[in-house]
Amino acid sequence: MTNQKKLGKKREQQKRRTIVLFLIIPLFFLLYFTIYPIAKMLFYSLTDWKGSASPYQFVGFSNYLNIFATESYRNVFFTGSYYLGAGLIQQVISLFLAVVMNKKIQGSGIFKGIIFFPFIMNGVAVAMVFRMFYQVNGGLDTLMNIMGMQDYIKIWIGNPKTCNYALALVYLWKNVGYSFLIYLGTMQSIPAEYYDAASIDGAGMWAQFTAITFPNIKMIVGLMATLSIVNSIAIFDIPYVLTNGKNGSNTFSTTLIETAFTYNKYGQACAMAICVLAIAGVVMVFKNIVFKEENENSYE
Amino acid sequence: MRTVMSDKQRTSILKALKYLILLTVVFIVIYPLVGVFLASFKTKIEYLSTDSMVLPLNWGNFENYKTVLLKGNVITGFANTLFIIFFSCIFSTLLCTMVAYCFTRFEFAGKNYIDKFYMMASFVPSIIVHLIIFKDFAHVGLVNNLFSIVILYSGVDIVSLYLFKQYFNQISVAVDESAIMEGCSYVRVYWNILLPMVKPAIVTACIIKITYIYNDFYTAFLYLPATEKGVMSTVLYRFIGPYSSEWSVIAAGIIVVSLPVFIGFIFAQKYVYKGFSDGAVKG
Repeated sequence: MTNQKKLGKKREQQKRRTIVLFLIIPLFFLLYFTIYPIAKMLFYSLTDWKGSASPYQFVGFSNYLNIFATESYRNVFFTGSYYLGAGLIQQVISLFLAVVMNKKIQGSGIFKGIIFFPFIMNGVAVAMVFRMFYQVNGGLDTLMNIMGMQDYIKIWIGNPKTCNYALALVYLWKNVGYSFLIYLGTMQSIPAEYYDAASIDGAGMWAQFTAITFPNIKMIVGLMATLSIVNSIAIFDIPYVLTNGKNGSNTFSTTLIETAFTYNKYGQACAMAICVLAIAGVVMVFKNIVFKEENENSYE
Repeated sequence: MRTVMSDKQRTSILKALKYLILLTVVFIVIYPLVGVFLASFKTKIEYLSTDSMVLPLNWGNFENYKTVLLKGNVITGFANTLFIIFFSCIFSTLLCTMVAYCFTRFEFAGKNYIDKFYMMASFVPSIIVHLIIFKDFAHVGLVNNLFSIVILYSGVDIVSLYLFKQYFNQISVAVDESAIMEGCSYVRVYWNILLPMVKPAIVTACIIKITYIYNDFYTAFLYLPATEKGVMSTVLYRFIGPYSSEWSVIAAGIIVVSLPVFIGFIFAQKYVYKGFSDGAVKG
Protein backbone atom coordinates (compact mmCIF):
# COMPACT_ATOMS: atom_id res chain seq x y z
CA MET A 1 0.00 0.00 0.00
CA THR A 2 2.68 2.47 0.98
CA ASN A 3 4.60 1.32 -2.03
CA GLN A 4 1.70 2.15 -4.28
CA LYS A 5 1.29 5.52 -2.62
CA LYS A 6 4.93 6.25 -3.20
CA LEU A 7 4.57 5.24 -6.82
CA GLY A 8 1.51 7.46 -7.15
CA LYS A 9 3.36 10.39 -5.70
CA LYS A 10 6.29 9.80 -7.96
CA ARG A 11 3.99 9.68 -10.94
CA GLU A 12 2.26 12.87 -9.90
CA GLN A 13 5.65 14.54 -9.75
CA GLN A 14 6.64 13.14 -13.12
CA LYS A 15 3.36 14.35 -14.56
CA ARG A 16 3.92 17.87 -13.33
CA ARG A 17 7.43 17.90 -14.71
CA THR A 18 6.21 16.69 -18.09
CA ILE A 19 3.58 19.42 -18.27
CA VAL A 20 6.12 22.11 -17.48
CA LEU A 21 8.64 20.66 -19.91
CA PHE A 22 6.09 20.43 -22.73
CA LEU A 23 4.34 23.73 -22.24
CA ILE A 24 7.10 26.12 -21.33
CA ILE A 25 8.34 26.89 -24.85
CA PRO A 26 4.91 27.04 -26.53
CA LEU A 27 3.58 29.30 -23.78
CA PHE A 28 6.58 31.54 -24.01
CA PHE A 29 5.97 31.88 -27.77
CA LEU A 30 2.31 32.56 -27.18
CA LEU A 31 3.07 35.38 -24.77
CA TYR A 32 5.94 36.76 -26.78
CA PHE A 33 4.14 36.77 -30.11
CA THR A 34 0.76 38.05 -28.93
CA ILE A 35 0.40 39.63 -25.48
CA TYR A 36 3.77 41.31 -25.41
CA PRO A 37 3.55 43.07 -28.80
CA ILE A 38 -0.05 44.08 -28.21
CA ALA A 39 0.77 45.61 -24.83
CA LYS A 40 3.72 47.42 -26.34
CA MET A 41 1.67 48.68 -29.27
CA LEU A 42 -1.04 49.97 -26.95
CA PHE A 43 1.62 51.91 -25.11
CA TYR A 44 3.45 53.28 -28.15
CA SER A 45 0.22 54.18 -29.92
CA LEU A 46 -0.10 56.98 -27.41
CA THR A 47 3.37 58.33 -28.19
CA ASP A 48 5.28 59.81 -31.10
CA TRP A 49 7.92 57.07 -31.01
CA LYS A 50 10.12 57.06 -34.11
CA GLY A 51 11.31 53.50 -33.72
CA SER A 52 14.78 54.51 -32.62
CA ALA A 53 16.39 54.97 -29.24
CA SER A 54 15.56 58.67 -29.30
CA PRO A 55 13.17 59.83 -26.59
CA TYR A 56 9.46 59.94 -27.29
CA GLN A 57 6.61 61.97 -25.92
CA PHE A 58 3.08 61.15 -25.05
CA VAL A 59 0.68 62.57 -27.54
CA GLY A 60 -2.57 61.22 -26.15
CA PHE A 61 -5.03 59.93 -28.69
CA SER A 62 -3.85 62.10 -31.55
CA ASN A 63 -2.45 59.09 -33.46
CA TYR A 64 -5.89 57.52 -33.39
CA LEU A 65 -7.56 60.75 -34.46
CA ASN A 66 -5.04 61.04 -37.28
CA ILE A 67 -6.28 57.79 -38.79
CA PHE A 68 -9.64 59.40 -39.42
CA ALA A 69 -8.38 62.91 -40.07
CA THR A 70 -5.71 62.04 -42.64
CA GLU A 71 -6.91 61.35 -46.15
CA SER A 72 -4.33 58.67 -46.99
CA TYR A 73 -5.05 56.79 -43.76
CA ARG A 74 -8.79 57.07 -44.04
CA ASN A 75 -8.59 55.73 -47.55
CA VAL A 76 -7.65 52.27 -46.28
CA PHE A 77 -11.22 51.66 -45.09
CA PHE A 78 -12.41 52.55 -48.54
CA THR A 79 -9.93 50.20 -50.20
CA GLY A 80 -10.79 47.48 -47.72
CA SER A 81 -14.41 47.65 -48.83
CA TYR A 82 -13.42 46.49 -52.34
CA TYR A 83 -11.81 43.36 -50.92
CA LEU A 84 -14.69 42.86 -48.56
CA GLY A 85 -17.04 43.04 -51.54
CA ALA A 86 -14.83 40.59 -53.42
CA GLY A 87 -14.85 38.30 -50.38
CA LEU A 88 -18.63 38.21 -50.34
CA ILE A 89 -18.90 37.67 -54.09
CA GLN A 90 -16.35 34.90 -53.60
CA GLN A 91 -18.78 33.10 -51.27
CA VAL A 92 -21.60 33.32 -53.79
CA ILE A 93 -19.50 32.11 -56.72
CA SER A 94 -17.88 29.28 -54.82
CA LEU A 95 -21.20 28.18 -53.39
CA PHE A 96 -22.64 28.11 -56.90
CA LEU A 97 -19.69 26.14 -58.26
CA ALA A 98 -19.90 23.69 -55.37
CA VAL A 99 -23.57 23.07 -56.17
CA VAL A 100 -22.71 22.51 -59.83
CA MET A 101 -19.98 20.02 -58.91
CA ASN A 102 -21.83 18.34 -56.05
CA LYS A 103 -23.53 15.68 -58.19
CA LYS A 104 -21.35 13.19 -60.00
CA ILE A 105 -19.94 14.73 -63.12
CA GLN A 106 -17.27 13.46 -65.47
CA GLY A 107 -13.86 15.07 -65.09
CA SER A 108 -14.75 16.50 -61.70
CA GLY A 109 -11.26 15.79 -60.36
CA ILE A 110 -9.64 17.94 -63.00
CA PHE A 111 -12.17 20.74 -62.64
CA LYS A 112 -11.73 20.71 -58.89
CA GLY A 113 -7.96 20.82 -59.21
CA ILE A 114 -7.98 23.71 -61.67
CA ILE A 115 -10.41 25.79 -59.64
CA PHE A 116 -8.44 25.17 -56.44
CA PHE A 117 -4.90 25.64 -57.75
CA PRO A 118 -4.75 29.49 -57.68
CA PHE A 119 -5.29 29.38 -53.94
CA ILE A 120 -2.03 27.56 -53.30
CA MET A 121 -0.09 29.59 -55.86
CA ASN A 122 2.53 31.96 -54.50
CA GLY A 123 0.96 35.35 -53.82
CA VAL A 124 3.80 37.27 -55.46
CA ALA A 125 3.59 35.04 -58.53
CA VAL A 126 -0.16 35.65 -58.76
CA ALA A 127 0.31 39.40 -58.44
CA MET A 128 2.90 39.31 -61.24
CA VAL A 129 0.71 37.17 -63.46
CA PHE A 130 -1.90 39.88 -63.20
CA ARG A 131 0.57 42.69 -63.70
CA MET A 132 1.17 41.11 -67.08
CA PHE A 133 -2.53 40.45 -67.56
CA TYR A 134 -3.48 44.10 -67.02
CA GLN A 135 -0.57 45.54 -69.03
CA VAL A 136 -1.16 47.47 -72.24
CA ASN A 137 -1.55 44.72 -74.86
CA GLY A 138 -1.57 42.18 -72.04
CA GLY A 139 -3.96 39.29 -71.59
CA LEU A 140 -7.04 41.35 -70.84
CA ASP A 141 -6.58 43.73 -73.77
CA THR A 142 -6.02 40.78 -76.09
CA LEU A 143 -9.21 39.16 -74.88
CA MET A 144 -11.21 42.34 -75.33
CA ASN A 145 -9.85 42.77 -78.85
CA ILE A 146 -10.96 39.25 -79.72
CA MET A 147 -14.41 39.91 -78.31
CA GLY A 148 -14.69 43.18 -80.23
CA MET A 149 -14.71 45.33 -77.12
CA GLN A 150 -11.59 47.31 -77.98
CA ASP A 151 -13.40 50.59 -77.35
CA TYR A 152 -13.66 49.76 -73.68
CA ILE A 153 -9.98 49.04 -73.15
CA LYS A 154 -8.54 51.17 -70.37
CA ILE A 155 -5.30 51.55 -68.51
CA TRP A 156 -6.38 49.13 -65.82
CA ILE A 157 -4.15 49.38 -62.79
CA GLY A 158 -2.61 52.76 -63.65
CA ASN A 159 -6.00 54.36 -63.31
CA PRO A 160 -7.45 55.17 -59.85
CA LYS A 161 -10.96 54.55 -61.17
CA THR A 162 -10.38 50.94 -62.17
CA CYS A 163 -7.39 50.06 -60.04
CA ASN A 164 -9.16 48.73 -56.95
CA TYR A 165 -11.65 46.74 -58.99
CA ALA A 166 -8.78 45.17 -60.88
CA LEU A 167 -6.97 44.27 -57.67
CA ALA A 168 -10.08 42.95 -55.93
CA LEU A 169 -10.62 40.73 -58.96
CA VAL A 170 -7.16 39.23 -58.47
CA TYR A 171 -8.08 38.52 -54.85
CA LEU A 172 -11.26 36.85 -56.04
CA TRP A 173 -9.39 34.81 -58.66
CA LYS A 174 -6.95 33.53 -56.07
CA ASN A 175 -9.40 32.72 -53.28
CA VAL A 176 -12.52 31.29 -54.91
CA GLY A 177 -10.94 27.83 -54.97
CA TYR A 178 -10.57 27.78 -51.21
CA SER A 179 -14.16 28.43 -50.23
CA PHE A 180 -15.23 26.23 -53.14
CA LEU A 181 -13.26 23.32 -51.66
CA ILE A 182 -14.76 23.87 -48.22
CA TYR A 183 -18.33 24.13 -49.50
CA LEU A 184 -17.96 21.13 -51.76
CA GLY A 185 -16.55 19.04 -48.92
CA THR A 186 -19.39 20.05 -46.62
CA MET A 187 -22.03 19.37 -49.27
CA GLN A 188 -20.62 15.95 -50.03
CA SER A 189 -20.94 15.00 -46.39
CA ILE A 190 -24.72 15.46 -46.65
CA PRO A 191 -26.21 11.95 -47.10
CA ALA A 192 -27.32 11.30 -50.67
CA GLU A 193 -30.56 9.74 -49.42
CA TYR A 194 -31.87 13.20 -48.56
CA TYR A 195 -31.63 14.22 -52.18
CA ASP A 196 -33.06 10.93 -53.43
CA ALA A 197 -36.05 11.29 -51.16
CA ALA A 198 -36.52 14.90 -52.22
CA SER A 199 -36.44 14.13 -55.93
CA ILE A 200 -38.96 11.32 -55.45
CA ASP A 201 -41.18 13.92 -53.84
CA GLY A 202 -40.69 15.98 -56.96
CA ALA A 203 -38.46 18.70 -55.52
CA GLY A 204 -36.59 20.62 -58.19
CA MET A 205 -33.00 21.77 -58.00
CA TRP A 206 -33.77 25.07 -56.35
CA ALA A 207 -36.11 23.44 -53.84
CA GLN A 208 -33.42 20.88 -53.03
CA PHE A 209 -30.90 23.64 -52.50
CA THR A 210 -33.08 25.67 -50.16
CA ALA A 211 -34.50 22.70 -48.27
CA ILE A 212 -31.47 20.43 -47.95
CA THR A 213 -28.17 21.94 -49.05
CA PHE A 214 -28.35 25.41 -47.59
CA PRO A 215 -29.56 24.54 -44.07
CA ASN A 216 -26.67 22.08 -43.82
CA ILE A 217 -23.97 24.49 -44.88
CA LYS A 218 -25.23 27.84 -43.67
CA MET A 219 -22.99 27.77 -40.60
CA ILE A 220 -19.90 27.25 -42.72
CA VAL A 221 -20.99 29.96 -45.14
CA GLY A 222 -21.43 32.38 -42.25
CA LEU A 223 -18.07 31.40 -40.84
CA MET A 224 -16.29 31.88 -44.16
CA ALA A 225 -17.99 35.23 -44.76
CA THR A 226 -16.96 36.39 -41.29
CA LEU A 227 -13.38 35.35 -41.86
CA SER A 228 -13.33 37.20 -45.16
CA ILE A 229 -13.97 40.41 -43.21
CA VAL A 230 -10.75 39.92 -41.24
CA ASN A 231 -8.86 38.90 -44.37
CA SER A 232 -10.00 41.96 -46.27
CA ILE A 233 -8.17 44.18 -43.77
CA ALA A 234 -4.92 42.25 -43.73
CA ILE A 235 -4.46 42.03 -47.49
CA PHE A 236 -0.87 42.75 -48.46
CA ASP A 237 0.78 40.90 -51.38
CA ILE A 238 -1.63 41.90 -54.12
CA PRO A 239 -1.58 45.69 -53.70
CA TYR A 240 2.06 45.75 -52.69
CA VAL A 241 3.33 43.91 -55.76
CA LEU A 242 0.81 45.18 -58.28
CA THR A 243 0.71 48.87 -57.48
CA ASN A 244 2.80 49.43 -54.37
CA GLY A 245 -0.23 51.14 -52.88
CA LYS A 246 -0.46 53.73 -55.66
CA ASN A 247 -3.66 54.98 -57.29
CA GLY A 248 -5.64 54.77 -54.07
CA SER A 249 -4.99 51.05 -53.62
CA ASN A 250 -3.22 51.30 -50.26
CA THR A 251 -4.67 48.89 -47.74
CA PHE A 252 -4.32 48.74 -43.99
CA SER A 253 -1.31 46.47 -44.31
CA THR A 254 0.58 48.39 -46.98
CA THR A 255 -0.04 51.69 -45.18
CA LEU A 256 1.03 50.17 -41.88
CA ILE A 257 4.31 48.98 -43.35
CA GLU A 258 4.97 52.27 -45.07
CA THR A 259 4.16 54.33 -41.99
CA ALA A 260 6.41 52.24 -39.78
CA PHE A 261 9.30 51.17 -41.94
CA THR A 262 9.53 53.93 -44.54
CA TYR A 263 8.51 57.00 -42.54
CA ASN A 264 9.50 55.65 -39.12
CA LYS A 265 6.25 56.86 -37.60
CA TYR A 266 6.04 53.94 -35.24
CA GLY A 267 3.61 55.55 -32.83
CA GLN A 268 1.21 56.21 -35.68
CA ALA A 269 1.65 52.68 -37.07
CA CYS A 270 0.96 51.21 -33.64
CA ALA A 271 -2.31 53.12 -33.43
CA MET A 272 -3.30 51.71 -36.81
CA ALA A 273 -2.35 48.22 -35.69
CA ILE A 274 -4.53 48.57 -32.60
CA CYS A 275 -7.32 49.71 -34.87
CA VAL A 276 -6.93 46.53 -36.98
CA LEU A 277 -6.88 44.49 -33.83
CA ALA A 278 -10.08 46.13 -32.61
CA ILE A 279 -11.83 45.29 -35.87
CA ALA A 280 -10.60 41.70 -35.69
CA GLY A 281 -11.72 41.55 -32.06
CA VAL A 282 -15.22 42.78 -32.86
CA VAL A 283 -15.48 40.25 -35.67
CA MET A 284 -14.33 37.49 -33.33
CA VAL A 285 -16.88 38.36 -30.67
CA PHE A 286 -19.56 38.56 -33.32
CA LYS A 287 -18.51 35.19 -34.70
CA ASN A 288 -18.53 33.60 -31.27
CA ILE A 289 -22.01 34.88 -30.46
CA VAL A 290 -23.55 33.92 -33.77
CA PHE A 291 -21.78 30.60 -34.25
CA LYS A 292 -21.66 29.49 -30.65
CA GLU A 293 -23.58 26.33 -31.34
CA GLU A 294 -21.26 25.42 -34.16
CA ASN A 295 -18.20 25.90 -31.96
CA GLU A 296 -19.56 23.64 -29.29
CA ASN A 297 -20.23 20.94 -31.80
CA SER A 298 -16.98 20.97 -33.69
CA TYR A 299 -14.51 21.13 -30.83
CA GLU A 300 -14.37 17.82 -29.06
CA MET B 1 -43.54 8.36 -72.90
CA ARG B 2 -43.38 12.05 -73.70
CA THR B 3 -42.59 13.00 -70.13
CA VAL B 4 -39.73 10.52 -70.06
CA MET B 5 -38.31 12.06 -73.19
CA SER B 6 -38.56 15.59 -71.90
CA ASP B 7 -37.04 14.52 -68.62
CA LYS B 8 -34.13 13.03 -70.46
CA GLN B 9 -33.82 16.15 -72.54
CA ARG B 10 -33.92 18.27 -69.45
CA THR B 11 -31.10 16.37 -67.80
CA SER B 12 -28.92 16.53 -70.87
CA ILE B 13 -29.51 20.26 -71.24
CA LEU B 14 -28.68 20.66 -67.58
CA LYS B 15 -25.55 18.63 -68.04
CA ALA B 16 -24.47 20.72 -71.01
CA LEU B 17 -25.11 23.86 -68.99
CA LYS B 18 -22.98 22.52 -66.16
CA TYR B 19 -20.08 21.84 -68.48
CA LEU B 20 -20.48 25.26 -70.03
CA ILE B 21 -20.23 26.88 -66.60
CA LEU B 22 -17.26 24.78 -65.56
CA LEU B 23 -15.41 25.34 -68.81
CA THR B 24 -15.95 29.09 -68.46
CA VAL B 25 -14.45 28.99 -64.98
CA VAL B 26 -11.56 26.87 -66.18
CA PHE B 27 -10.95 29.39 -68.94
CA ILE B 28 -10.92 32.29 -66.45
CA VAL B 29 -8.45 30.45 -64.22
CA ILE B 30 -6.13 29.30 -66.99
CA TYR B 31 -6.21 32.22 -69.41
CA PRO B 32 -3.92 34.61 -67.45
CA LEU B 33 -1.50 31.75 -66.81
CA VAL B 34 -1.31 30.78 -70.48
CA GLY B 35 -0.26 34.31 -71.34
CA VAL B 36 2.60 34.05 -68.84
CA PHE B 37 3.63 30.64 -70.11
CA LEU B 38 3.78 31.84 -73.71
CA ALA B 39 5.66 34.98 -72.73
CA SER B 40 8.33 32.95 -70.99
CA PHE B 41 9.50 31.62 -74.38
CA LYS B 42 9.49 34.98 -76.15
CA THR B 43 12.40 37.32 -76.66
CA LYS B 44 12.21 40.82 -75.25
CA ILE B 45 11.37 42.36 -78.62
CA GLU B 46 8.97 39.60 -79.48
CA TYR B 47 7.11 40.14 -76.21
CA LEU B 48 6.74 43.86 -76.82
CA SER B 49 5.62 43.46 -80.40
CA THR B 50 3.12 40.62 -80.10
CA ASP B 51 -0.22 40.13 -78.38
CA SER B 52 -0.16 37.97 -75.29
CA MET B 53 -1.93 35.07 -77.01
CA VAL B 54 0.42 34.90 -80.00
CA LEU B 55 2.52 31.75 -79.80
CA PRO B 56 6.26 32.24 -79.39
CA LEU B 57 8.36 32.03 -82.56
CA ASN B 58 10.78 29.58 -81.07
CA TRP B 59 9.63 27.09 -78.42
CA GLY B 60 13.25 26.15 -77.88
CA ASN B 61 14.09 29.60 -76.58
CA PHE B 62 15.13 28.86 -73.00
CA GLU B 63 17.13 32.07 -72.60
CA ASN B 64 14.66 33.53 -70.11
CA TYR B 65 14.79 30.41 -67.98
CA LYS B 66 18.58 30.46 -68.13
CA THR B 67 18.59 34.07 -66.94
CA VAL B 68 16.22 33.21 -64.11
CA LEU B 69 18.21 30.22 -62.90
CA LEU B 70 21.68 31.68 -63.35
CA LYS B 71 21.23 35.33 -62.45
CA GLY B 72 18.01 35.44 -60.50
CA ASN B 73 19.12 33.75 -57.26
CA VAL B 74 16.31 31.28 -57.70
CA ILE B 75 18.44 28.32 -56.68
CA THR B 76 19.57 30.06 -53.50
CA GLY B 77 15.98 31.06 -52.87
CA PHE B 78 14.79 27.51 -53.30
CA ALA B 79 17.47 26.15 -50.98
CA ASN B 80 16.65 28.78 -48.33
CA THR B 81 12.95 28.04 -48.64
CA LEU B 82 13.54 24.31 -48.22
CA PHE B 83 15.74 24.95 -45.19
CA ILE B 84 13.06 27.11 -43.57
CA ILE B 85 10.30 24.65 -44.40
CA PHE B 86 12.27 21.69 -43.04
CA PHE B 87 13.06 23.19 -39.65
CA SER B 88 9.73 24.98 -39.25
CA CYS B 89 7.85 21.75 -39.86
CA ILE B 90 9.92 19.86 -37.31
CA PHE B 91 9.67 22.53 -34.63
CA SER B 92 6.03 23.37 -35.12
CA THR B 93 5.04 19.70 -35.20
CA LEU B 94 6.90 19.14 -31.94
CA LEU B 95 5.44 22.16 -30.19
CA CYS B 96 1.89 21.58 -31.43
CA THR B 97 1.86 17.91 -30.49
CA MET B 98 3.38 18.62 -27.09
CA VAL B 99 0.64 21.12 -26.29
CA ALA B 100 -2.04 18.82 -27.70
CA TYR B 101 -0.65 15.93 -25.63
CA CYS B 102 -0.82 17.93 -22.41
CA PHE B 103 -4.30 19.20 -23.23
CA THR B 104 -5.76 15.79 -23.96
CA ARG B 105 -3.91 13.68 -21.36
CA PHE B 106 -3.63 15.85 -18.24
CA GLU B 107 -5.81 18.00 -16.08
CA PHE B 108 -4.04 21.05 -14.74
CA ALA B 109 -4.82 24.52 -13.49
CA GLY B 110 -5.38 27.12 -16.18
CA LYS B 111 -5.88 24.60 -18.99
CA ASN B 112 -9.12 26.13 -20.17
CA TYR B 113 -7.67 29.61 -20.09
CA ILE B 114 -4.70 28.59 -22.20
CA ASP B 115 -7.07 26.96 -24.65
CA LYS B 116 -9.19 30.11 -24.95
CA PHE B 117 -6.04 32.12 -25.24
CA TYR B 118 -4.90 30.16 -28.28
CA MET B 119 -8.31 30.72 -29.79
CA MET B 120 -8.06 34.46 -29.24
CA ALA B 121 -4.47 34.66 -30.42
CA SER B 122 -5.48 33.10 -33.72
CA PHE B 123 -7.50 36.20 -34.46
CA VAL B 124 -4.60 38.59 -34.10
CA PRO B 125 -3.49 39.44 -37.66
CA SER B 126 0.17 38.42 -37.76
CA ILE B 127 1.02 41.41 -39.91
CA ILE B 128 0.65 43.80 -36.96
CA VAL B 129 2.67 42.02 -34.28
CA HIS B 130 5.76 42.25 -36.48
CA LEU B 131 5.90 45.99 -35.85
CA ILE B 132 7.22 45.18 -32.40
CA ILE B 133 8.82 41.77 -32.92
CA PHE B 134 10.87 43.03 -35.84
CA LYS B 135 12.38 45.81 -33.72
CA ASP B 136 13.38 43.26 -31.09
CA PHE B 137 14.85 40.86 -33.63
CA ALA B 138 16.78 43.67 -35.27
CA HIS B 139 18.04 44.75 -31.89
CA VAL B 140 19.60 41.36 -31.16
CA GLY B 141 20.86 40.88 -34.72
CA LEU B 142 18.40 38.21 -35.79
CA VAL B 143 17.57 39.91 -39.07
CA ASN B 144 18.90 38.10 -42.13
CA ASN B 145 19.17 34.93 -40.13
CA LEU B 146 17.17 32.02 -41.53
CA PHE B 147 16.50 30.75 -38.02
CA SER B 148 14.73 33.97 -37.08
CA ILE B 149 12.04 33.17 -39.57
CA VAL B 150 11.96 29.52 -38.47
CA ILE B 151 11.14 30.76 -34.96
CA LEU B 152 8.33 32.91 -36.34
CA TYR B 153 6.83 29.94 -38.20
CA SER B 154 7.21 27.54 -35.29
CA GLY B 155 4.60 28.95 -32.95
CA VAL B 156 1.56 26.82 -32.21
CA ASP B 157 -1.21 27.59 -34.65
CA ILE B 158 -4.78 26.88 -33.73
CA VAL B 159 -5.56 24.78 -36.78
CA SER B 160 -2.80 22.25 -36.12
CA LEU B 161 -3.54 22.31 -32.40
CA TYR B 162 -7.16 21.30 -32.88
CA LEU B 163 -6.18 18.76 -35.47
CA PHE B 164 -3.72 17.08 -33.10
CA LYS B 165 -6.10 17.30 -30.17
CA GLN B 166 -8.69 15.51 -32.20
CA TYR B 167 -6.26 12.74 -33.13
CA PHE B 168 -4.95 12.31 -29.61
CA ASN B 169 -8.51 12.12 -28.30
CA GLN B 170 -9.22 9.26 -30.67
CA ILE B 171 -6.45 7.19 -29.12
CA SER B 172 -7.63 5.41 -25.99
CA VAL B 173 -5.95 6.42 -22.74
CA ALA B 174 -5.62 2.68 -22.06
CA VAL B 175 -2.78 2.69 -24.57
CA ASP B 176 -0.87 5.20 -22.44
CA GLU B 177 -1.70 3.42 -19.24
CA SER B 178 -0.44 0.03 -20.26
CA ALA B 179 2.83 1.58 -21.39
CA ILE B 180 3.19 3.44 -18.11
CA MET B 181 2.53 0.18 -16.23
CA GLU B 182 5.48 -1.26 -18.06
CA GLY B 183 7.64 1.56 -16.82
CA CYS B 184 7.44 4.11 -19.65
CA SER B 185 7.75 7.74 -18.68
CA TYR B 186 5.22 10.28 -19.99
CA VAL B 187 7.79 11.66 -22.35
CA ARG B 188 8.38 8.21 -23.81
CA VAL B 189 4.66 7.57 -24.12
CA TYR B 190 4.40 10.78 -26.12
CA TRP B 191 7.48 10.18 -28.22
CA ASN B 192 7.47 6.42 -28.82
CA ILE B 193 3.80 5.57 -28.79
CA LEU B 194 1.50 8.51 -29.49
CA LEU B 195 3.54 10.48 -31.99
CA PRO B 196 3.84 7.58 -34.48
CA MET B 197 0.09 7.03 -34.17
CA VAL B 198 -0.82 10.56 -35.30
CA LYS B 199 1.26 10.47 -38.47
CA PRO B 200 -1.71 11.33 -40.73
CA ALA B 201 -2.31 14.47 -38.68
CA ILE B 202 1.35 15.39 -38.93
CA VAL B 203 1.21 15.08 -42.73
CA THR B 204 -1.92 17.23 -42.87
CA ALA B 205 -0.50 19.90 -40.57
CA CYS B 206 2.79 19.99 -42.45
CA ILE B 207 1.11 20.39 -45.82
CA ILE B 208 -0.76 23.45 -44.59
CA LYS B 209 2.47 24.76 -43.09
CA ILE B 210 4.52 24.14 -46.25
CA THR B 211 1.96 25.88 -48.44
CA TYR B 212 1.83 28.79 -46.06
CA ILE B 213 5.59 29.19 -45.84
CA TYR B 214 6.20 28.75 -49.55
CA ASN B 215 3.67 31.46 -50.36
CA ASP B 216 4.34 33.88 -47.54
CA PHE B 217 5.91 37.06 -48.78
CA TYR B 218 5.57 39.55 -45.97
CA THR B 219 7.56 37.81 -43.24
CA ALA B 220 10.51 36.97 -45.46
CA PHE B 221 10.42 40.43 -47.02
CA LEU B 222 10.76 41.97 -43.57
CA TYR B 223 13.15 39.62 -41.81
CA LEU B 224 15.37 38.48 -44.68
CA PRO B 225 16.16 41.60 -46.72
CA ALA B 226 19.60 40.43 -47.92
CA THR B 227 19.75 39.14 -51.49
CA GLU B 228 21.50 35.90 -50.53
CA LYS B 229 18.85 35.21 -47.88
CA GLY B 230 15.99 35.40 -50.34
CA VAL B 231 13.17 32.86 -50.38
CA MET B 232 11.01 32.05 -53.40
CA SER B 233 8.59 34.96 -52.84
CA THR B 234 11.20 37.61 -52.26
CA VAL B 235 13.49 36.35 -55.02
CA LEU B 236 10.63 36.67 -57.47
CA TYR B 237 9.64 40.05 -56.08
CA ARG B 238 13.17 41.35 -56.61
CA PHE B 239 12.92 40.57 -60.33
CA ILE B 240 10.85 43.72 -60.67
CA GLY B 241 13.89 45.93 -60.21
CA PRO B 242 16.48 44.66 -62.70
CA TYR B 243 14.06 43.06 -65.18
CA SER B 244 11.20 45.55 -65.05
CA SER B 245 11.43 46.05 -68.78
CA GLU B 246 11.94 42.37 -69.54
CA TRP B 247 8.62 40.81 -68.81
CA SER B 248 9.53 37.62 -70.61
CA VAL B 249 12.23 36.99 -67.98
CA ILE B 250 9.76 37.73 -65.20
CA ALA B 251 7.32 35.34 -66.87
CA ALA B 252 9.93 32.59 -66.72
CA GLY B 253 10.47 33.48 -63.05
CA ILE B 254 6.76 33.11 -62.33
CA ILE B 255 6.73 29.69 -63.99
CA VAL B 256 9.85 28.51 -62.13
CA VAL B 257 8.49 29.64 -58.76
CA SER B 258 5.07 28.09 -59.37
CA LEU B 259 6.32 24.79 -60.79
CA PRO B 260 7.27 23.11 -57.46
CA VAL B 261 3.82 23.93 -56.07
CA PHE B 262 2.18 22.61 -59.21
CA ILE B 263 4.12 19.34 -59.12
CA GLY B 264 3.61 18.96 -55.38
CA PHE B 265 -0.09 19.58 -55.80
CA ILE B 266 -0.47 16.94 -58.50
CA PHE B 267 1.20 14.30 -56.35
CA ALA B 268 -0.30 15.22 -52.99
CA GLN B 269 -3.70 16.46 -54.18
CA LYS B 270 -5.66 14.26 -51.79
CA TYR B 271 -3.69 15.42 -48.75
CA VAL B 272 -3.81 19.05 -49.79
CA TYR B 273 -7.60 18.98 -50.04
CA LYS B 274 -7.88 17.15 -46.75
CA GLY B 275 -5.47 19.53 -45.06
CA PHE B 276 -7.32 22.63 -46.09
CA SER B 277 -10.81 21.31 -45.43
CA ASP B 278 -9.84 19.99 -41.99
CA GLY B 279 -8.06 23.23 -41.25
CA ALA B 280 -10.95 25.48 -42.21
CA VAL B 281 -13.63 23.76 -40.22
CA LYS B 282 -11.53 23.60 -37.06
CA GLY B 283 -10.04 27.05 -37.34
